Amino acid sequence: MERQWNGKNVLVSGAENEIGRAVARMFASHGARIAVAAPVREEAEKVVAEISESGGEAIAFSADPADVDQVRRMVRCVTETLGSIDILVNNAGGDNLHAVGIVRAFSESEPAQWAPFLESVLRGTIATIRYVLPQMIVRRTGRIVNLVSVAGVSGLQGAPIRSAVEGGIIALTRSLAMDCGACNICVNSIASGAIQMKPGPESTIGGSVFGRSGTPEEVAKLVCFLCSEDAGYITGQNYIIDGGCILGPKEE
Amino acid sequence: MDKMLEGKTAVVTGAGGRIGIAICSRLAEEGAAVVCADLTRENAEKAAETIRSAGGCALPCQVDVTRSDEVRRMAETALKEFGSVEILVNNAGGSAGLFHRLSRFENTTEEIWRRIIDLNLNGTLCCIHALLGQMMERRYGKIINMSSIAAEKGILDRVDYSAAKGGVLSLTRALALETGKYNINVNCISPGMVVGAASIPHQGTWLGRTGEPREIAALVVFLASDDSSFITGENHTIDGGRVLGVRYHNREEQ
Repeated sequence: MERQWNGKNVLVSGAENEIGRAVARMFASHGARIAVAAPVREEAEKVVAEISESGGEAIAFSADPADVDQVRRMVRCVTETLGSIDILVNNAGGDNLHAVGIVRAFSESEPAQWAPFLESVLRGTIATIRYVLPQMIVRRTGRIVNLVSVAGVSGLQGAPIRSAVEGGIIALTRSLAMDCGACNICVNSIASGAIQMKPGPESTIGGSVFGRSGTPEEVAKLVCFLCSEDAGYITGQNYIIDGGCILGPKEE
Repeated sequence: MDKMLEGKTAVVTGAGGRIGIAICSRLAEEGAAVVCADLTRENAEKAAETIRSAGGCALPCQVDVTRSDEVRRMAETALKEFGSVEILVNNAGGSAGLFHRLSRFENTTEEIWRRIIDLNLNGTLCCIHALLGQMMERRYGKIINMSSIAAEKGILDRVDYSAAKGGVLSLTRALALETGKYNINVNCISPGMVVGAASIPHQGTWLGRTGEPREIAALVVFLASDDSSFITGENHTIDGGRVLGVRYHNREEQ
């Protein structure tokens, strides 16, 4: 159990935010080798340093998710360096409102404000999966987990574009799972909500029934479960971790 | 290897079934004491014996989950023996195939659909009601209900069962709203195509195989552990893609 990912290679994209970092750290602490990918190399190197300090193995990579060519080169570089990618965790969305901002008034929004969602989050996720998949198909094994937010499930006030993109990734996950099933590749998404990103303000998605926000580590534990040997019959699913914030009206 | 459920007590209904035994075994492997509840004494003993022979702690309990008096007695026995119950797995259930035969709804009878609703829905409500109070007092609890892929997508010849499991899914959400402040997680699992003790090839799932009881049990353990403490009110489908998506239909190939 402790070293259950010995010898496995994990690519974590979007590793610069708290959830990505927590995922990378948790896999590393269980023996996996981590390819840490972030848009800016220094960000990735910070996470690698953190992992190395606690005795884990990680290598930094960088690619701007909005640039498909950079993503393709990054994936090739990871594959050449590690030999293979067993697990891909796409942390393009996540509970990451502050990094990309909310389009508050859609009717007054400019296409440039949609771009981070459409290009980085949606196209970046599609591109990463596109270039990672072939070697998983050849080896007939693999796990892909796409991290999104509950905005894609339930909608989020002030964030129609973001919700569309997160929902798009959930739909992508389902269809991909059908395509990849015969190759023994499981594709799932995790929609998180009300996760405390530290250091920083309380999550803007409120309403957890526990009266507290969740932690990036709690999301990481679900990611690790879905990538474990035990979870090999779960595919095409969107598992929600939000402390119940999308459940029906709460007590006033 | 750290055991995830050391010091915890679990009640598992339908303990003697294929999936039930796997759930009991995994919970016990993780250190939980398990009350193995089943409709028949024989099945309850079988599940408990499986745990004991592996060195675990188990208590067999014969109970009809549709009878609130029997369920209350089960809860009293469990609490007397172990002091508290932290984990409740409402695994007892089934469709008309259990005691009659599956059929189109027009051919079923009121007696049959009342039994199906009673077993799957009222049985689950009964067990939760009997054990919830002591969880609230201790401000800790994990309730795991068995729904089904029938709840979300429907299954032929199982109209009553689909309705009952839909009820289980809905009660999971509403109960999670009520129990969050007591630090009680309520979740459900929707398994699909778990037909035997071992996985066999099957084209009815996108993974091309059936599931194994141990795979359902692993998901139960995850939801019963503190690794899932921020997950509540949710359904967790585990079906190899049995009810996933729409198949592309190529007319020219026919």
